[in-house]
This record gives sequence, structure tokens and C-alpha cells, in this order.
Amino acid sequence: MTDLSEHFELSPSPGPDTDLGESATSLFELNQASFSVGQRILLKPLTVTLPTRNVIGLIGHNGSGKSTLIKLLARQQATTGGVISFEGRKLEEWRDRPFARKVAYLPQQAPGAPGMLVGELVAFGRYPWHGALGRFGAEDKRMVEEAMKLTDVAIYRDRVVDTLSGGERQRVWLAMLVAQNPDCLLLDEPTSALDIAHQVEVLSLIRRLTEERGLGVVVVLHDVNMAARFCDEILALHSGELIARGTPVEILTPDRLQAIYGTRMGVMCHPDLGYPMSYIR
Amino acid sequence: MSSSLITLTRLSVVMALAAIGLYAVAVFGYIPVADLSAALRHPDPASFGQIYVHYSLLPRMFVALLAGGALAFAGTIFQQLLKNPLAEPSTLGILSGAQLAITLMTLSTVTVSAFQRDIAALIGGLAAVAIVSGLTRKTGFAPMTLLLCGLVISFSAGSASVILALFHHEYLRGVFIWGSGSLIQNDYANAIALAVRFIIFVPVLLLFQRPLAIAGLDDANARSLGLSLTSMRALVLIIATILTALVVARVGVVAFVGIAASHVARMAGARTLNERLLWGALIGALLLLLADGIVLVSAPVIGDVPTGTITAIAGALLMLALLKSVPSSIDQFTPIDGRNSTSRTSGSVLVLVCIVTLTFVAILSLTEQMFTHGLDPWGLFTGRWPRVLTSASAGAMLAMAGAITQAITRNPMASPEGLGVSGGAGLGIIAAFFFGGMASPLMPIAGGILGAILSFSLVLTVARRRSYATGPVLLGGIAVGALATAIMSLIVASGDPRASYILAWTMGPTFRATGIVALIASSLALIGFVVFPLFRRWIEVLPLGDGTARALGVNPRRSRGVLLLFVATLTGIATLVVGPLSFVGMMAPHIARMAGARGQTRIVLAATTIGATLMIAADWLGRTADFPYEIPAGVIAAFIGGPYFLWIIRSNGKTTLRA
Amino acid sequence: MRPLNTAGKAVPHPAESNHDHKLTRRQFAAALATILVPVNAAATPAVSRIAVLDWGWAESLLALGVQPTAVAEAPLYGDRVVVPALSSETIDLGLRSWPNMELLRSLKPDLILAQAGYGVSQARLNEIAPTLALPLYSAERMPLVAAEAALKEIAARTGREEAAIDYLQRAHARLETIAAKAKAYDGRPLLIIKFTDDRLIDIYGEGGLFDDVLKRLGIVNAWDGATNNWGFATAGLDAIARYPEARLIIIEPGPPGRFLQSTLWQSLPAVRKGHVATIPPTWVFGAFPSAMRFAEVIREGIGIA
Repeated sequence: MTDLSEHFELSPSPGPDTDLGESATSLFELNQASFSVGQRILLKPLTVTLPTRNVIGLIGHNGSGKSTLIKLLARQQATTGGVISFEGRKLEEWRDRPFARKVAYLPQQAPGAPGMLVGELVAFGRYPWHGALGRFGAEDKRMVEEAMKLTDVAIYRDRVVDTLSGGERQRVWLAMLVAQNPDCLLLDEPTSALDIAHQVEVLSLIRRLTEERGLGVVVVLHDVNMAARFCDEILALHSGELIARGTPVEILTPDRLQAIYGTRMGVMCHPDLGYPMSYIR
Repeated sequence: MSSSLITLTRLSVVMALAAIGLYAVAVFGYIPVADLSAALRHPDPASFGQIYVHYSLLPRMFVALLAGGALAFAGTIFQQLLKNPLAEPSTLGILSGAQLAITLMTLSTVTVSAFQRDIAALIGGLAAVAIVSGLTRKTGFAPMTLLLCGLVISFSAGSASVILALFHHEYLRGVFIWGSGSLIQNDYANAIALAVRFIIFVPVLLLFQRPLAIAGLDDANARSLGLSLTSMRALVLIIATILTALVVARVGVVAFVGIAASHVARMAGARTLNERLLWGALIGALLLLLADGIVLVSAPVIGDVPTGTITAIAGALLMLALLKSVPSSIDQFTPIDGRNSTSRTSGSVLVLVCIVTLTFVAILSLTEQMFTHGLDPWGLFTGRWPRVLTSASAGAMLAMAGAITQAITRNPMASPEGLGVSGGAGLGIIAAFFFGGMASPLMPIAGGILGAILSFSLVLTVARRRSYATGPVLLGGIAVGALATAIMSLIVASGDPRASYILAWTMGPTFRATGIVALIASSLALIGFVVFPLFRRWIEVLPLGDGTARALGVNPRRSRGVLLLFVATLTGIATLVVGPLSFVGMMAPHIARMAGARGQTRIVLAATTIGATLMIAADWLGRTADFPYEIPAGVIAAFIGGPYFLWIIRSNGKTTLRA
Repeated sequence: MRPLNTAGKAVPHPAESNHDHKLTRRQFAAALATILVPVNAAATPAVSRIAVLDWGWAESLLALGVQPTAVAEAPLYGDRVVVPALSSETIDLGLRSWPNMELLRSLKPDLILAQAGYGVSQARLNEIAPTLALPLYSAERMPLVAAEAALKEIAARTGREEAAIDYLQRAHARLETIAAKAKAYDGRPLLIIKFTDDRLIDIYGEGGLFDDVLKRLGIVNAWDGATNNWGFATAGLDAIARYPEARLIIIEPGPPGRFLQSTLWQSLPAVRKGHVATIPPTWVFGAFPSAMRFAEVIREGIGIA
């Protein structure tokens, strides 16, 4: 395993479209953050800084801690050691709704939405803004419309969510996250249940959102090639430890991939687009 | 797993020594130490002490050991078979089914022989298991569904038993003494009968040990290993139920030994099925012996408390302690609503229809004169408005509580009755009668409110560690309910003439409502109605799951805690007027959804009016069905609600997608 | 003192009664009717429509020669209290603990008789008709005294004072006679029990109607243990064994099955010595007429003439 400490200082690596100067403070800082359940350590103490203005992919084998890390960022779980800060404030100091206005999170398994219409579900994204009692105003309505337009779900507005196909449903959930109007999206394997066409559809949408809305995205992906295709930067975890960080080109090398997945892999270039692709040897 | 200090052997030895010690104290209260061997072998007919030890205490010891062993053995089998850590004779409804059957037999024949009692218990027990397993088979015996189903069977059978007792409580005292699980013996008949049953059934069940072990795996795995699950399950289920029913027929309702023994055995290190079965049986035997020893020794101080009551109380407390091992979310169901996407306008039309029906039923109930004559309309009205208004308020509160419970648990079968509030209110009412007498009608109300608050705080305190997840909360409620039932049995068995009065009180006497009670209930219902919009968005967001809720800035733990408190308040007040087992809280929101209400707000609105309508109708039926005898409205609602509930489980099972 | 004229065949000769205490319920009823039903039953009471919520007051009213219009659980009264019998036209009011208020209202009674502290509160009953809520089992724990006082009060309210005086005179005279004869009794304390099933028994003691009657007759009640509000205790068989010198009086119906033949029962000191008697079903929570009936059956039971 290579010592990657210099990588941490190098980052954030400049993305292709860093025209959002004001979100320079929009970032997660982890300081010796760790998580364990009983004797089992799911995430070893980690010190790292994550910018939230491009697409960061988290990859790793099953149980590598990538889902744990994103749950910690989303405040779904509290760290058992160390500190995570967002925009310079510790996560536990954030109040629920202000945090939700900044950071939106999609769990790995999108829950069922019994009997709910698409329009209604997307409107929930406004909760952090209007709260339990506030009025659902014109601004809220506009944001919901915009989110549905952006994600191409406006046509399903009056359909019951549970009757949609997997890809459509995932887009509806993303619409809800967009309506939340956050600075940052945290997505836990948003493509895991989808076929290849829908995976591309959803990831393209995420890519487009970062470009049109200037959103930062942290996304857990189990498919390294998809990560290479859609992410600006990749963090690789192994056994609860960060073992590599860099651009797709830096990560997708045979040695790195062997370290990450523990199996011999080769790398080649995409024949049309030129980004790296891995294959099993 | 467990610390090496506690091993199965050590634990058993300690329990055995403690139990024998307690028995020794009891025995030597009757005979001098020197007479012991004579008393055990050839008691002197001239010495009552020796005869008593020989013919009462000694068989009692055998009965405790055999019954405890058999119930624990059957309990472990049920748990393995249904892959449900909380399955056991009482939670599956076997005990209540047997109790109802024996009650009916007692009422239909002059004297009930032991054999007739066996047969009645068999029929009742098998019927209960057939219903519970038949209804939950399609959901793969999903743990919470199974428990809820067993709970409903217990409630329905229990309410039937109680209503019979209400009208015949002096005839039925014997049944209730049996029902409270007294282990007092007069001869060896029960001990011999139990021994024969044990010797026949335990080896037969042990033959199934290997298929049972495989059945503990996933169904698909079991099938791929060549095991025909359905027929094996059915066969073992029937044999284990027969064993249970035959034991129960002799010793009465002894609940929770099955759960307690298997959990203790597991904690002490029994791992394989074989270990759990055999050690579980041994520990079950010793547990019941220990409980009985405590009952024997404390009898001079606290009187003859039936052993079954002690196990029920201990078991309820144990279940509260076990909440941490219960799955957080209760089984998910395919929602009933959303099957047909209804148009938006039908929602308000529906609410309007509900309100019209409510008005119609209320007017009917206020004006009809089917049995009484010579009362002017004003006389009728002054006599009836309090009960109609009280029923309506209680129904509305229960329905609102039910709609919220179902929304936050995402389970269409969840019912506020299961929150432990009702059971606690019932206990509070009983306590008020015993400490405050029957003088003031305010005493039971105060007692009920206090009981509801205490029991709910208990359930919440235990559930807090689990972030108020709904599974543990509902289970805690079941435990408190079981506790209340045990104490009710104890009171009827005590022969206190106030029993029928107390029974009626805990069953929800809308006919007892005065104008003041009606006004209080209706203003509280109104307050609930006004406060509800504050919770609307939480109710809509929480069903999306904790993750999503948190991501949207809703603290699931806090909002659920607040909502549960709201639900508990509504339920507690309603319980005081209509009793603990009406099922209106479950039925009304479900009917609302069936009628096409969609979206939590509309469901709550429609459900509230439907709940009020149901309760007014139940009150009217209770008034006219057995005139001049009044059947509490809560019981009528439970009679309708029980089958309705089971029907929902059935139709849900058909559409449920479960891996 | 009135002789038991027509009841000769129903009341066994004292000499035989040690061995044969059993007599049918009907025979017994016939015998009792002679002392309990007063002569001047035809007089018109001042209050004509009376609704009774307690059986003790119902039997008291009947003893005064007044037929109540309505009685709570009237059909069951016939099974439990037996005599004095209610007219078959008596209206059933529903449960004693909670009668049908609407029916009660529609009957427009002149008077409601209730037991204080049991069932519906007096305040609510007063809204319907003037209500006499009389105590029977109160803090004084003297139900016989309370029953006599209640009888007098009911008589006063219904204009039957003379019938009450007459009835009580005869009743007290009868009690005197029995008490006098009881002096011939061997003085063995009585343990009055009723089986709930074959394992538990109710034992009647201090604070109960039967205990008061025993005191009145000068017979010792063996049970000195605690009793509840209603004057009885529930215990196992071992409680009987604590009183080896007592005579057991079993109120029918006895235990189910062949329990009385069991080794355990047979080894009870009282049973071994043959100190057991059975008395016919007697309403245990009744008022003065029930007390009189108990006095008669106990006289039979212990074999004093």
C-alpha cells in the first residue's frame, strides 16, 4: 500500500469547470473521523478534505467503508471518533433544516412512497425551507417545477411514484433532491438497481446537474468504469482506509486497481472518448 | 457471546437449587423435617401435613416441571418453525383460543370433566394456530405480522371471554381461576397426564429436529436442500400445538415461559437447535418451578397469587427487556392505497360523504325507539346525547391516532391499541377501583390517565434506545397489554363482586358517559383536530424512511417521539371511554383508504369521521343487541374489528412482496 | 312464634338430619315461603312502581309483600336467590352493576332501590326518580344490621311499616328459637365454605352476612383470618386444615368430579372426624331474607331442631 499523504495535500484536484468561486468554503473537512460498531472498525481515522463543486466518486470493495463514509457526511450516522466539519462548522453543530438546505442525501435503497404522487414527493424537497408549519409559497412551487423540468419528470407529475420504473423513480428522487436546492448532493449507489441504460441516464443527469446548477456531488459507485466515466475525482477505500485519491487517469492503473479490488486488472482507453477503462485479466 | 461465567450447566444448577430451596421452605411449613421421607413415600393418612405434601405439593412440583418443560419445548419449536424469536403459545393466540373454548364449554355443560377440557383446549388452540398461521403464511410468517395476528386473536378471544364473564361472572369463576394459571394440585392426575403427554409428544417432535434445523434457513435454501417446507411446517405446527393445548388444558394460561426459556438458554450459550430445544426445555421447567416456588413461599404474605400471573408479569417485563433484539421496522406491506390513482376532487367528496353518513347515524342513534316506549324526544335526547357524543369523540380520536400510527409505521395493520397505552389505562382504572373504591366516577378516569401516562413512558423509555423505532414500541405495547390481561384474570378469579363492574369499566362503557365526560371528550377530540395540522408534514415525510427524513432536515427520532406522544394522548383518552380493544384505530384509516382517500391529510380527515361513525354505530348496537343488557361499545367494535383486521392481513398477504 | 305448618315433609326430622341434609330446592322454597311471605300481602302500598337494582333489596321488598315492577337481572334472581320468588311479569332491567338507564327512565318508577357504593351513582339515578341507595357492605362491616335497617327504611318509603314490624318480629322470634336450640349444639366452630373449583374455596368470615347470622345464633365461626370488603376470603384447601376442630359447612354446589372422595380431602382433620355438612344453595350477598334463609339451612345443617 502506498503512502498517500502527499495526495491529501495535493487535493482538491482542479476539475474541468471550477467557475464557482463562492462555493470555495463549501466543503467537508474530516479530521481523524472514524466509525466503529462494537469491536468492528468500519472506517479508520480519516483526515481528508472534500470540495463540493464537482463530482467525487467513492469506490472500493464491499465493506470498504464507502457507504459508511457517505452516511457520516450526510449525518445519517454520527462519527464514533474524530470530527467532520462542513463549511467550517462541525456537523453536530448544524441544525437539521439549515444543514438540509445545504446538503441533500439519497439513501442506497430509495424507500417506497406509498400512494404518493410524483409531484407530492418532489415537493417534500422544500421541507428544509418551509419547515413543519411554513407556507408552501410561490418560490417553493417554482423550485419544484424547475427541479422536475431539470430531471425530466414533469410528465409524471400525477403518476403514483411506486408505479414508475426503476430509472424513472430514481430520477424522481433526484428531482426531490434538486428541489431541496442544496449546494451538495450525497448519493449512495444511486445506480445499483438499474440496468446499464438507466445507469447512464441517471449518471448523465447527475453530471448535468453539476454543470447547470453548480452542485457538488459525492457519489458512491461500485462500478469503477462508471466512476471513471462520470467523476472528476475518485477516492478509493479499502478495509475502512483511504488508499488512493486522484483523477480517473491517476486511479485507473493496474497496480492501483489490484490494491483496491484485490484482483488482477488491466486498463485501456475508451476507443471514442479516451477516458480509462478497466477490465479483468 | 456470553461471559464464560454463566454456562448452561451452572445456570441450571443454580436455578434448580433456588427452586428446591423455596419448595423446602413451603414443605417444612407443613411437616417437621423428620417426616420428610415418610411424607414423600408413605404419608400417614392421619397427618394432613404429610398428605398435603404428598398429594398437593409433590405433584405440584412435577406439574410445574413438566408444564414448564413442555411449554418451553413447544415455544422453541414455534420460534424455529416460524423463524420468529417471539413466537410462543401465548403470542400465537393458542392460550386465548383454548381459554375461550373452555369458557364456552363451561357455559354449555353442567360440569366439565378433565377430558372435555382437553378436547376444548385442543379445538380452541388449533383453531387459533390455524387462523394465525393461515393468515401469515403468505407473508412468510413475518415476525411482526405474526405477532399482531396472534395479538388480534388473543384480543378477540379475550374480549369474547370477558363479555361472557360480564354476564356470567359467578358461573365462570372456575374458568378464570384456571385461566389465571394456578398450579395448585389435589392429586397426581394432572402430573400423570402431563407426563404421558410429555413422553409421547417430545420424542415425536424430536424426530423433526433435522428438518427443523434446515427450516431455520431461508426458504429458498431449505427448498434447494430438498425439504418440503409446507407439509413439514404444517405437521410440526399441529403437533406442537396439540402438545401446548393439552398442557394448557391442565395447568391453565401460563404465558411467556416459552419465550423466557429459549432466550435464557440462548444467552447462556445454547447455539444449535438441538441444544436450544433440550436446554430450553430444562430451563423452562426450572423457570416455572422457580416461579411457583416464589408463589408458594410468598402466599402467606401476599395471598394465593396464581403462578400464571407471576409468569405473565415476569414475561411482560422480559419482553420489554428484549425490545433491543426486535427488528426496528415492522414488516412492510404493499400499501392498499395507490392501487388506483384517484382524482384529486374525489377526496373532498369522500370527506363530505363521510360527514353526511356520520350525521345520519348520529341522528338515528339519538331518535330511534325500538325497545323503549313513552319517552318524549327530549327525554331520549337528554339521555342519549352524552353517549353519542362520547362515542363519536372516542372514535374520532382513535381513528386519528390510528391513521398517524399507520403512517409513521408504514403498516396498515398498526393500531394505537398496540402502543401499551390502552393496557396501561386499564391497569390504572383497576388500581383506582382498588385504592379509591367505587364512590366517584372521577377516580377511574384519573387512574386511567395516570396508568396510560406511566405505561407509555415505560414503553418509550425502553424504546428510546432504539430511536423510537416502531417495532419495539408496538411490542412494548403488547407486553403491557399482556400484563393488564393477566391482572384482569386475577381479579375475576378473586370472586370480588366488583369484578363485573370493573370488567365493564375496562371494556369501555359509553353508556356510563355523563354530559361532563362527553363535553371533556369532545373538546379533547377537537383540540386534537386543531393540533393535527402542526404534524401534517412530519406525517408525510416520515413514511419515506429515516434516511430521507433526516436528509430533509426532519429529526426522525424527535418527530416520531412527539407524534407518538400525541397518539398516546389521543388513545389514552379514548380508551377511558371505549375500552382497550376496539380496533377502530386500525379500521377507520383503512376504510378511508379503501374508499379512495389518498394523501395523509385526507386519510386522517376521512378516517376521523369514519371512526366517529363506527363508534356511534357500535354504541347503538351495544344498546339494542341484547336489550336491556348493554354490551360495551368497545366490545362491539372489537367483534367487528377483529375479523376485519384478519381479513386485511389476508388480503395483504396476497399482494405482499417478500424475499 | 309461627309453627312450620305445611312444611312438615320438607323439613326433615331433627333426628335424621345429621345424616340427610339434602332437600331439593323447591321443597326448601316451599318451606321458607311459609315464614317469609307475610299475611297482609294484599294491602296497597303508597308507592306503586318500584325499580330495584339490588337483589337484597328485591327480596326485602318481597318480604314486605310488595312486588317490584322491575328488577335488575330478574331471570338470574330466580336461579340464585330462589325465594321469595319474583312475579314472572317483573321487568328485567339489565345488569345489576349497570342497568339500562333508558329503560329505567321509560318505566317512570316512583322509587328506585339501589345499593350504596355499587353500580350507578345515586346522583344519576335521582335524575330519573327518587332513589334510595342503602348501604349493605359498608365500612361498619355489619351487613345484618345494615340489612335490617334497610328493610325498615324500604318499608317506610313504601308505606309498609306494619308489614316490616310484623316481619321483623317473626324473624327475630325465629332467630331466638334457633339460637335457643343452638345451645344444644356441641359448640364446634363452623367453617363455612363454597367451592369455586376443586382447588380454591371461598371462606365466609368477619364482615359477611353469614358471620353476622352465626353471631346472632351464638355459634362460633371458625374462620379468624382476614376477609375482603364482602366478608369472605379465597384460599386453598390447606386453609381448612388449619382448623382441625371445626365443622365444615359446604354451600352447594360442591366441587366438580369426585373430589370429595380424594385422599387429600379425606385426610382433612374435619373430614376424618366426620364433621362435614352440606347446605343448599344460598345467596351469599343477600339482605335480611337471605340471612333468615341461612339461619334455617344452618339449623338443618348442624342438626339442631
